[in-house]
Amino acid sequence: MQLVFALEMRISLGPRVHIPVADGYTRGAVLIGQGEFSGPGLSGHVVPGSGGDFPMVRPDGSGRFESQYLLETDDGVPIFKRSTGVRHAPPDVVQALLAGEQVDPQSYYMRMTPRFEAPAGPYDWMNRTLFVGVGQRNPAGSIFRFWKVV
Amino acid sequence: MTDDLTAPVPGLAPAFAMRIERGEPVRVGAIATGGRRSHVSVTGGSFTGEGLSGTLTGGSETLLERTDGVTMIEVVYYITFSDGAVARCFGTGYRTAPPHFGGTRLSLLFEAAETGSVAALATRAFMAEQVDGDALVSINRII
Repeated sequence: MQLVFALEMRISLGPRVHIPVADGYTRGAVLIGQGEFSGPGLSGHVVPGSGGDFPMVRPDGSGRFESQYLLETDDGVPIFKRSTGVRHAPPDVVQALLAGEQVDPQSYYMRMTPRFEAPAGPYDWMNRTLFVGVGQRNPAGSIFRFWKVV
Repeated sequence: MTDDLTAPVPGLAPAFAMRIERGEPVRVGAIATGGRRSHVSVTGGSFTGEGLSGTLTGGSETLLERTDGVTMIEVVYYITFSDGAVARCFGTGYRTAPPHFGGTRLSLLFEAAETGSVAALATRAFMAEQVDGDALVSINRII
């Protein structure tokens, strides 16, 4: 099993909603703004308004991600992206992240394992491929890079 | 726009080996939303690596054999470790056949009591692979 770079995605984040569910656990809703992605044989944009990330965040700020939204390739193919992930970091790092400060992305663990649904055609390899993603939160948005498992 | 690309490059580090014993499949059949649905219960097995040793004390694999030849798999495995700690391992993945990869790959996460001996399992994501014909599932930590 090896990881081969597949695509990079840069997104801006839209409105955020926090739902305090219980005991300090919060369901966040970070709606996706705009974004682009590119990689070998693959480029396009994120469909605005098509979804977002809905993390379950613990009182100490660690959490699990659940995201879903649509991509559209430059040749007009819609692709559904759904992902789960883990964030784990020392408490002071999490506080800085939540405050929207610039944080060294090496100081926390943020990994995603997205799945894609694409129509038959040039991108249908994504329907049978697992991916590993690394996230980097910047004040203005997020950068995700994804590697395919081969 | 490249100076902000300072995030780590991920890797896969071998962590655990899992052997799964399964019951007879329960077959739902061809379903209206496409593919053939089935289910198997986990009846036993073992989980070892990184100084941990456990047995599989429950779980299931829910399968959807899609019409494109790919089987989508949703798994849950309960692992009881030698000190009595329990973890729930869960995830999704694909089983594919040649000319594509011949075997099963799964992305996995764990849940465990956060004050327990295996709490660290829940702080990382994992990627597993079982090549067709191999007896063991190889579980790699995503680093």
